[in-house]
Amino acid sequence: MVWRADVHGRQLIMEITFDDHPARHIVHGESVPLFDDLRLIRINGIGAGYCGVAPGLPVTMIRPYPLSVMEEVRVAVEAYTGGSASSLNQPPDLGSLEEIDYGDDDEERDEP
Amino acid sequence: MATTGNSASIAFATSGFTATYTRIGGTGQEREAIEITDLSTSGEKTYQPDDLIEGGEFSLEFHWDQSASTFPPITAAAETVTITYPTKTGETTAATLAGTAFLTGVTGPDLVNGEIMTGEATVKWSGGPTYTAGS
Repeated sequence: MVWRADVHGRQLIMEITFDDHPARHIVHGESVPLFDDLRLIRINGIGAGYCGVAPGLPVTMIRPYPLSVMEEVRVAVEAYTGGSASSLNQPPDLGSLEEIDYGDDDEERDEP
Repeated sequence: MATTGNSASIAFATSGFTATYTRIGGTGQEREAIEITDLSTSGEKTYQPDDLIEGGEFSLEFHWDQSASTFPPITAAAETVTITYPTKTGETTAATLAGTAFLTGVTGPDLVNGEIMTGEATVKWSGGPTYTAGS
């Protein structure tokens, strides 16, 4: 399914798809998914995170994404599982911490 | 071509814990060597492998984000943990090491001048993890 997100003012067209969890094991000579209850989330074909097959499990991304992309992931997961995830998690984008506005205290002040 | 660990990641399926990782340690697995030396043995002692192996554990190092509301799940039940290896050129699915695991230790950051705050965690596989090659 194709989703659109506004990322930094640009319309980004994403294909969000769900695959079996990549871990596999051999059962009766056949390679089958190791975890039936989890799915790999792909964004434009790239592995992006994991979610449950049913509502109520968290979505865990493996790298940070813009909020608008995460919103599309949330919608896609809800459509796929038929309900809400318990939480939407991604690694903190520590680069953005450098952009925190600490207020006037950071500004140089004239000596009284 | 040999590759580095850059872009590797780890996901906790139930607790949803995420962080910016600086190191995902390798899993060490062991099995005992059972001595089977008897009175007829000469020269060196002889051994056979134990029936079971120790599934092993690994360590994590990550930037400590004081804004994060999800903390390392030291009190959580065992959950599915997936270590995703870097994707090699030509692969669409990265290799994974996955299994059921739980935290056995967490160390918070040292708070000092001039150093990035980092946390550490030790993760124990509750059985043996499964390695699946990339494809």
